[in-house]
Amino acid sequence: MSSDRAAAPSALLLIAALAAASPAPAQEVIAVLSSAPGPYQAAFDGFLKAFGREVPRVRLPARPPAAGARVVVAFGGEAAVQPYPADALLIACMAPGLGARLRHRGPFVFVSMKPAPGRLLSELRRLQPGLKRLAVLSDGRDTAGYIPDLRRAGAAIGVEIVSPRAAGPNGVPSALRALLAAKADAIWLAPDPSLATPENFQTIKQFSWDNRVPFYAPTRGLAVAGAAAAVSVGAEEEGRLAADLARRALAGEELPEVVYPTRTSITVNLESAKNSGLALPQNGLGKDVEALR
Amino acid sequence: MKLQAKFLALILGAGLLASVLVLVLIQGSVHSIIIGGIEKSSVVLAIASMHDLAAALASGRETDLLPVLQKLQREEGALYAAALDPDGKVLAHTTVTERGRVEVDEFTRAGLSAGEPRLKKGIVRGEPVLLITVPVWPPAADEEFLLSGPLRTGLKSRLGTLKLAVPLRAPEETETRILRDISLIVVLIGAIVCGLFVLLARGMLAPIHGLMAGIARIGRGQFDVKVPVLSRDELGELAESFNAMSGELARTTVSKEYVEGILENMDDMLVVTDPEGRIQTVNRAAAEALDGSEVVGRPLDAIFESPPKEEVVRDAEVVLRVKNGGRMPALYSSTVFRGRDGRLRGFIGVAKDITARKRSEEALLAAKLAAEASNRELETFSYSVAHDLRAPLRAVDGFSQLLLSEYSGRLDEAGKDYLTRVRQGSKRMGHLIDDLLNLSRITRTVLRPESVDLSALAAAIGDELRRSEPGRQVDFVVAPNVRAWGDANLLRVTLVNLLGNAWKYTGKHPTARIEFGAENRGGSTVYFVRDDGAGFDMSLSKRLFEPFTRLHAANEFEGTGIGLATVQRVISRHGGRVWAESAVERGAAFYFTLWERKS
Repeated sequence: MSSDRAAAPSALLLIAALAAASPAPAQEVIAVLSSAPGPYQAAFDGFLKAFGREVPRVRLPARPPAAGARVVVAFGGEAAVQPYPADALLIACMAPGLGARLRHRGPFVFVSMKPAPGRLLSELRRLQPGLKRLAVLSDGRDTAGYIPDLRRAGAAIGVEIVSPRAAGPNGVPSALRALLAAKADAIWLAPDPSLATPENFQTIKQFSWDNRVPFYAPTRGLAVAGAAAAVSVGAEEEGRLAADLARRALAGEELPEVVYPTRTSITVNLESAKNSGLALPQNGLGKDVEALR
Repeated sequence: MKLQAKFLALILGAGLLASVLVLVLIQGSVHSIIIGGIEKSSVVLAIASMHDLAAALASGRETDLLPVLQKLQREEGALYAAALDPDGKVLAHTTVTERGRVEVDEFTRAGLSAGEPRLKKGIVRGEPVLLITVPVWPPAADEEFLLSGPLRTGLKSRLGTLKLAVPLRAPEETETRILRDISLIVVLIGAIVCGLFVLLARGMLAPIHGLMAGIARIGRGQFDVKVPVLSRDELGELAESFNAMSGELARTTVSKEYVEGILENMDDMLVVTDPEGRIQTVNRAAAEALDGSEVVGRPLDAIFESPPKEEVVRDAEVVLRVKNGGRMPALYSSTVFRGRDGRLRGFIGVAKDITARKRSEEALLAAKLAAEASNRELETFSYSVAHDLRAPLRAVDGFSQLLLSEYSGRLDEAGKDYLTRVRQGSKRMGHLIDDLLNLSRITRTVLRPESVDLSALAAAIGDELRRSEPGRQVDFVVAPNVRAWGDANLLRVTLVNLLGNAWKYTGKHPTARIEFGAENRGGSTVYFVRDDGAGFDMSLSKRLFEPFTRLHAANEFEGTGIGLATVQRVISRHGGRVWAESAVERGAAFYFTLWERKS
């Protein structure tokens, strides 16, 4: 199908969505984007597409609105930690590692960058069918609620979760040594900016290659940087989930504190996979898997 | 083209191609290692300076930028280093006069908008350089690294661009030197490989050359050829197979060499012609006799004084024209020479030199003629003597009888006894003369051969003998149907003598057995007369058939000694021979054959 012919139904859908949405004051929902050029714009685009109508947008360091908004959708960690009216619902997306910090402010919903536990494990099993023991590398603060869910999901499919806690950015080497003793089949790095520094990333990658333990990252960018593979949540998906939550909030629904995305993408760095001893399935991974050569 | 040359051409071609490929690959690898290494290290060094450079660019002051750029220039060994703002304007340059200028070249303009470092080879101040542009971003927050990794997607926060010119002359010279050295090594290795190949090929082809020589010898008809087995590989197996084949050929096939050896060494002359009768081949004997160099190619008839009328003859006596105008009597046989396909290939003639035989025959013939003449004279003389003796003998006997009958009263007993003895002597002499005349007649009689029933003859003679002495007890046994080809009268004389002797020499025995028959000995018919009479001493048998020979005393057995001589003469005229076997008082057996030789 050509792009011209595809554009017509999209436009019709947008018009239909705008017509179906309940009329709301423009100030009810505002979007705040972090200042850095990262993928926040893509997430906002996904938000708009799913939300169905324009919302006011502020990109830091421009000053965010002081009052009047019922829902603030923050894109990025910088946007998520800005002071907002206490009665406004904060929906934070694209803000990895901030879930725990947001509990100290008013109402909020955190759109996590961690895939739903079952989804993450099934996707890792696609990459590594023989996976039996998965080491989750995190500092423990942002994964306190996630790890138990992950264990349950792992128990259902026969994957044991080991979680050597890294005590801050400098604790990665100790955590790696600990998981070596645990004889893990693979390492999954939680999307935690305090751990995922360039230096720690290099340390984990070197550990992975030296010990032939595949290293799975939470973002495509880290697969590009040298992780064996990534099971990532796309920026558009984060925006889509934020839009869904905003709509539900405006509709008066009670929302959960954390939402884990169920739509993920797989990116494989073939060279790193080979170096880390990841034997990819002979019958291929499917057309939805991006392979970096 | 010889196999070795083909292999050499192949190895040279393959080696040349491989060398080119190796050099191209090595050139690529060396370039990748040297230039690629410079590219990587330059970019890495530039990125390593990003923190300082970002801070200096954020200030935008030349005084902050220059130290960073100069440090980079030193570390990179760069010709220059420059910091550009997002629009391409030079904010600082290690060549300070360049400050404020706006870069407009295509490579730099592309680098201003690229998110990744870019590289390109170029010329600066006449020197080959590697031009590098590296985007300069603000220091990354942790979240950005997590979300984007090493990539940058936005441009709004870009601080500017670093531009470097890294000289390439020294690395390129290094690359050229390495390639030159490697080329020399490749050429050297190629030469060594070619040399080794030539040696190896010679070693490998040696058995093949041996096989070729062996095959050529077999082609010349020498089947018993052995080639050396020089290796245990397929060629060695081939040589062993060849030896087995040649051995089998030598064992089962008459080789040309063998046949030629026989033909060359045979004493008889051999001549082979083509179908038209022109001489193609002669053996040594023929060549020596006929002047081989001249007769080859000439018609076969030319070698004869009078050629045989037929092309195929057997033992024909011919006269050959030999060297120096000579003549050679020869026994000549010829046959048709056909190929395996039945096609006429020519004729084969074999001539045997019979010069010596002809001379002997001529001498023998002369001697025979002389002997025959002498015999005729002697026989004529004997006949005349015998004939002439008859008249006075008849007179002696007749007058002796008249004296006994007319004057018996006047003669006393002694005189009568003398006269009686005279008459007995006359009779014996008469018998002797008859025998001599018979012997002479047998010699002179012309043979009239016919089929003779010897059994009937023997039976008839036996009856006569019985009638002559009816009182004797003699068992006369005659084998039936014994026939012979000969003169009936002479054969009868033979049997009369032999059977008569048997009758006579069994006369002292009260009973006797006389047997006539024939038996086959070695394909020849041997006739015999056998008795169980007095026999004789075999030591005397040599004289048995000589005339006037008597092996017994005259008073014991009568006889003239002519009978067996007559038998021998008759058998001789019939081309046979006669002999006897005997022992004293154990009988005698006389054997004879007929037509054993040409009469």
